[in-house]
Order: sequence, then structure tokens, then C-alpha cells
Amino acid sequence: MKKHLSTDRLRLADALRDRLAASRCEQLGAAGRQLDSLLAQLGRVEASRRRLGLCLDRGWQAAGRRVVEEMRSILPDLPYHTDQARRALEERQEAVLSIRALLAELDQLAEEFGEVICDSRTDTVAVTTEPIELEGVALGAFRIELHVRQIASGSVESAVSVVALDPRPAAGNSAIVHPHVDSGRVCLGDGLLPARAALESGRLSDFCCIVRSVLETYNSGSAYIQLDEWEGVSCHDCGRVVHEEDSYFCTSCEESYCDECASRCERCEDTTCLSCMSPCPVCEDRYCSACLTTCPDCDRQLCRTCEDEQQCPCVEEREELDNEDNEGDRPAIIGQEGQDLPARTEEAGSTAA
Amino acid sequence: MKVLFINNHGSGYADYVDVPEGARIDQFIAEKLADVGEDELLIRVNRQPVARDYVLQEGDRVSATPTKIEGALAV
Repeated sequence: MKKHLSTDRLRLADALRDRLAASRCEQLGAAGRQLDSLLAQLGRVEASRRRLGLCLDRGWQAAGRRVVEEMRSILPDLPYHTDQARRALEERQEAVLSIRALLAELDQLAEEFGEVICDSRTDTVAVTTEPIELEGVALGAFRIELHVRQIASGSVESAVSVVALDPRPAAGNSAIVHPHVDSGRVCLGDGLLPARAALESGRLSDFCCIVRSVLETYNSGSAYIQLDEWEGVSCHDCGRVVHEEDSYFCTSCEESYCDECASRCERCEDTTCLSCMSPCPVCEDRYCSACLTTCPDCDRQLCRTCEDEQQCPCVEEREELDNEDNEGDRPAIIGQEGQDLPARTEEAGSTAA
Repeated sequence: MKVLFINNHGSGYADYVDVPEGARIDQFIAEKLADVGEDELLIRVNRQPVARDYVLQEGDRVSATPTKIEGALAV
């Protein structure tokens, strides 16, 4: 067990005491604001009651009805404001721990975790867990950092960071180094209430032990990424994580894909992703870029087989154009049933019946 | 006699509770946390680990922290 320099520990205990005292004031302030809201509502009721009395005294029936309507809209809100004030006043107000007690907490932290780092420049307390393995997936050790300046009434998770010391993030998301940690933020789940109580009471050791217990437990029902999807390869197209032996490597773009996003070139049979393949406009089969060629006449991309067999659509288009041109050179003569007849130039104006 | 009990399995607050003279820590925990296995708790008395047959004293500070707590994902 190591103890950090006592000066740093003392400064940190002092900073923590100040922050806890400020947090108490914030709690009292919140309670005061709730009471103010309740009093404001009661004030409106009182004012309406006085006006109603005035209306009754002077026989102002229409005005009296309007006052009653007004009170009908005020009264339903009273239970809400009363409940909010009650909750705020029920918040436990424990005395802030003494410096001596906070130093004892730091000592206990060192006992529980083997070492505690106190940084009085950043007002941070840090401890390290043992390497953690959940359901056969090794996640490495984690550093739990408590940021004293971030301690505020009602806010726990923003005051703690969890840092992977030997990161083994999920295949699909490098920010997730633990099933319940995302970008350094741990989601305490069932541990939230006791963690909040521990922190508000200054029980640092209990707080860090609770965070450690969360890190050492896998809740498959509420994880950022499931452990059975932790290791593997992320499909470059859809992002699905698959085992390495179930992934396919595209020889064109050199990325990995799942079985649904990978395919095979019809000609060379190389594994190719769907994005790196294009259909031939003639046979409509899909080919990799190496098995497609460019028609020298129209620059269309088509497979080598169709190109060799002169199957490019531009060939037919050219033939149609040629045919149209040829028909345009001959005069049209209509015979029986529309048959073309040779032209008879020696009899001007003569036509077939 | 009274001991301070910090139950980090529940709401996490500390309360003074009555215990009979001569009560052992394992008996006390079994009564207070009957639904939790002994091996699932980190038990500390006056911030120190103690043997299961430790006899509680007046004013002892007892804390019990689960070793397995289910986290979640933030919604």
C-alpha cells in the first residue's frame, strides 16, 4: 500500500469538504426554491379568494363566476407544488465530514485499492482496479477518477470518469471499453442511488467500491454493446460485428464485410463487396472492376464476354441509325396494301389504283 | 447497543440501528441482508475487514457493499 504525499491529500480533503459543503447549500437552495413556488401558488389562491369575497359583497355575479373559473385553473397545480416542496425537504441533510474523517476515507481507499492518487491541482482522486474479465472477455484494468469539482447535488455520474488502462474496446465502437462505459462515462444502473448517497456523505471508499462493483458485473440486459459481439470484425458497410472467420475481405477496396454485404465476381470469383461490383448492362451479372471493360465506341462499362461478343447496346443503336439513314435515301412509293413498287418515271402523274 | 450501519445494497444511507449485546457481524449481516449471499458483500467494520465471528461493539461503524452491481446504459 502506498500513500501519496500528505500535502496533496490534505489539500484534496479540504477541497472535497468545501465542495460537499457547497453541495449542501445547493440542496437547501433547491428546497427554498420549491417552497417559493408553493407559496406563489398559495398567494394566487389567496388573492382570488379576496376578489371572490369582494364580488359577493357587491353582488357582482358575472365577476364572481370569472374568479371561480380562475381558481379552478390554479387549484389543480397545488398538489404538484406541495409534493415538490415535500421531496426537497425530505432530502437528508447530514453534517459534512471533518477533514480528519475525509483523510480516513482516503486511507481506506488506499487499503481497498492498493494505491490512491490525489492530485490537488485538478482536485482529482484516482484508484485502479485489478484487470477485469467478464464472461471470458478480458477488458483490462480501469482507473476510477473522482473529480471533486464536479460533485454537485443530485449529479453523480458526471463527477466520475472511468479510463481503460489497457483498452480493449468493442470491435464496433472504440469509445466503448466496457459494456457499461461509454466515452469514459459509466452508467451506474442499480448502483446509482447508493453511489449518490456515498458521495453526498463524503464516503469516498464506499463510492469507489460501488463503481468497481459495477465494472465487475455484466448486465446483458442493458449494455452498450453485448459481450458476444465484443470481439470480431466490424462490417465496413453495415457495421455489424462478426467473428473474424465469418468475415469476408474485399480484394478491390481491401475492407472486411459480413456475409450479407459481400459477394463474388461472376467471372473471376474473387470476393468483392457490393459497392465494388457493377452490373453488366447486357447480361446483368455483377463483376468486379477488373472484369469489366470499356466499350471503345460508347465508353459503357460491360463485361469482357459481352464486349467480345459485340453485345454492347451501342452496336444495335448504330445499326438502327444506319437503317434509318438508308431508308431516308429512297423515295417512298405506295402500292397495293402499302407495298413499295419500283418508280415509274416515264409516266408523270400515273399512280397505282 | 447501537451501531452505525451503512447499507450500500439499498438506498446507501447510514442509520444507527439497535443490536443485541454479543451479536456477531455474520449474524448481523444475515439478518439485515438476508437476500444477499455472504460472498456477494464487502463487509467492513470501522473501515477494516473483520473475521466473521467478530463481536460488534457499541458505536461500531458497519458497512456492507455488494461486489456485484448491475450497471446499465444511459438512455
